[in-house]
Amino acid sequence: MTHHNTEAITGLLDGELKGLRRWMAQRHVSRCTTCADEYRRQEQVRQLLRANPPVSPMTDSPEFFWSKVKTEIQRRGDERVAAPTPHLVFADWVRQHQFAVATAAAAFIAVVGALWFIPAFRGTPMVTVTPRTATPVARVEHLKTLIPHTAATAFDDKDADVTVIWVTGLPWTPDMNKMETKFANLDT
Amino acid sequence: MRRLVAVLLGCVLCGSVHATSIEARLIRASNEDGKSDAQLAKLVPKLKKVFGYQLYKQLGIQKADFKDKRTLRLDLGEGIVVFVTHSEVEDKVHTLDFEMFSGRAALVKSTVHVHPGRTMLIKGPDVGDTLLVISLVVVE
Repeated sequence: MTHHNTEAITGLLDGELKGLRRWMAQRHVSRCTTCADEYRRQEQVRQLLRANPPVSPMTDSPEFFWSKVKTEIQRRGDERVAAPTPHLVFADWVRQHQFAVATAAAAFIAVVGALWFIPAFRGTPMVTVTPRTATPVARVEHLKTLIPHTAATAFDDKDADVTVIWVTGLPWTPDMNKMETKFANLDT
Repeated sequence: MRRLVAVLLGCVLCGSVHATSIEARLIRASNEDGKSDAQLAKLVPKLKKVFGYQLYKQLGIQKADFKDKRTLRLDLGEGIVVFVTHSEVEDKVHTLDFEMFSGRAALVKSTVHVHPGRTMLIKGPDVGDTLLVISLVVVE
């Protein structure tokens, strides 16, 4: 023992140190003024405690006290005592079942994610028929033709549920080859 | 558990972010005998209501993703080419500038604001007893 160690001093006073450790502690206390002072102080405290043992405030002897407790227990028998029950709030419930809640949340997200990939669950009306063209689904902003004597017009065909761009005045050709040739040489 | 929730949420959000594209078809309408193309099964009822022809054949189809306002060139065959530029999207309404060419001739030029899935039909030139129709759909 080469440094101040209060536990070692306590152990020395309590007789817990044996052999070499006890010898080293005694040697250190005999040479170190600080530890010697601590040793004397603790020894005085112990002497005071030994000189003044705690006085029991109980007037009855322990045997008589326990016999009274036993008699009272036997007297009450099976009498039920209302024990206070803690009032749980939702946060307490969630804390108690955190794993179940986390698992349920993960399962819900997984199911929603899986359903997202199934086209049948996306955008399918669940009940009756709703007007599919309640909002405009196509709006033609600019429309023009560059070939002379041609014209184009746009309209929504509600029956067919399509937007149509109708180009009129295009040159007629008898077959596909002549059409390709004719249009290939047509500059706009 | 928090990590699991974060991963699941991330998967859902990532899955919802996907490219917007345009699908264009060149269709020939006629009153010949036969069955319309199976690829046009959903479109034929609409085509019949608008144009009245009985038979619809798909001559070409092109689909391309919109990228940073770049102009897409959709070559539909038979000399018909559609150039589409996606300029903006607001409240799911896409603004498109498109030009339809046949050879060097610009047949029609337009700017439209369209919801995804809304079919747009363009009446093209008459060829013999048939009619060329172009359909455009924004796909999300």
